[in-house]
Amino acid sequence: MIPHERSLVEKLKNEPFALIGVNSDSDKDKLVQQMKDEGVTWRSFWNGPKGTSGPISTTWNVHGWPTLYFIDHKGVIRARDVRDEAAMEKLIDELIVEAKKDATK
Amino acid sequence: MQKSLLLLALLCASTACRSTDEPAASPPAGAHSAEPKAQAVAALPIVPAKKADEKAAPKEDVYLAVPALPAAKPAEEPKAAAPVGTRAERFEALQKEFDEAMNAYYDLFRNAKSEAEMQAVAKTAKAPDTAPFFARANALLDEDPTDATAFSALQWMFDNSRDEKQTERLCAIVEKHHFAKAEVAELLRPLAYSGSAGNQLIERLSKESPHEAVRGRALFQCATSAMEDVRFAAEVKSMADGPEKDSYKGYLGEERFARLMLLDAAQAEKDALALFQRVQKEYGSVKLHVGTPYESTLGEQSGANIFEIENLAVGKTAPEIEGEDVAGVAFKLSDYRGKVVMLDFWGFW
Repeated sequence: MIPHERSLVEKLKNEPFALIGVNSDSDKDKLVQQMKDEGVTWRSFWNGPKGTSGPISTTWNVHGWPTLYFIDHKGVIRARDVRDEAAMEKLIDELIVEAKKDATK
Repeated sequence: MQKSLLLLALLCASTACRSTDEPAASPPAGAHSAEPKAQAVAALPIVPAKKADEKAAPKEDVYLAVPALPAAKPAEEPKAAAPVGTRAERFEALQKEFDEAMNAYYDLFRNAKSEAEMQAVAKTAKAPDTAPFFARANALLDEDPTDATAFSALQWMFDNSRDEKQTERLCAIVEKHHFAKAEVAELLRPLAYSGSAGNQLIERLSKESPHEAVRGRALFQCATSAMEDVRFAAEVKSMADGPEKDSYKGYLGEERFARLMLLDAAQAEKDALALFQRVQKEYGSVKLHVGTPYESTLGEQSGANIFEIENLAVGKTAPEIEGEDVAGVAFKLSDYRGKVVMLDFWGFW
């Protein structure tokens, strides 16, 4: 997961794309260190000290980790839990094309 | 025990895969969410987290993956030496020996240092023969299907057996001897993964159990299963034929898999919504996980699911998230409007 995400972020760094995490580790200091160690450079909301029972994952009714949402440039949810790496990249590419098309209008 | 939400799952190296769900419910042998460590190794068994990992996990009912147990042979009773000890002791010993056997096997995978090593282990390692364990549990059930040990044995078998004949027999025992008990609620989740016999039993419990909490939780399970159907169906339909799809079939069971391929997702979602609304109205005050950090009510749980159906479906505008990043800097999801966003609920654990 993380190695693929890292390469995805690198590959798409000049595109209208952002990988945003919602992290559910309860120990923030340990989390910050681990993010450094693993090269997690993208931004994450922190779900708070209650970990997986924190406010964001509770509102989003997340019971399985990782859970993925793909949101287009207009803020519309377009897909969920596309975990296959090839399918994920194809989906993101398509959404980026849409975003660029609207940006040049 | 372990379970997994969607797929064939191997322990993720860095992102632990887990699923939390209804902490009080027993996980089925092949239900619930996780993430494949590597899609290329569908032939590998799913290696559950070690007990220690589970303890460190943030929720009491966190699973990393589902063991891909070989189907147990229907009770051929390879009779071992005469049983020693009380029923409870015999069951405890059975569980312990089973865990040891499975852990020894899974350790081979856990200790593999690379993908290649893991593949090599997969070729040579032999999964433990589970039939004698199931035979011992079945013997306990045959002697006395009614007592507390029988109930524990049922729960254990539901968690570990994927054999459909086996689960049909278990469903029949539950129906005959444990139907009116309050603790039958702990079996709702595995029953949901036990084919039509299990699901018919859940429906009966939702109507006829003498306990309000069991009726409410059974109805909630019906709603949850309907929602899971929608999700599973979407995944299954998007999958190309191949080993991944086959393993999915293994986890869901032939019957459910076939049904999902034909599922009218829009209708199933409407049904699920109506069920959650009914649970909220009729059983909203039923408490769950009393005395644990996860204490909640069926009303709250249903509300969360209703929110999800109404606001988090494909085609809906993503709800705003306002929070702080790990450095404590406030930001909002909508700050990224104009960009494609992949939102990933994750953790190292």
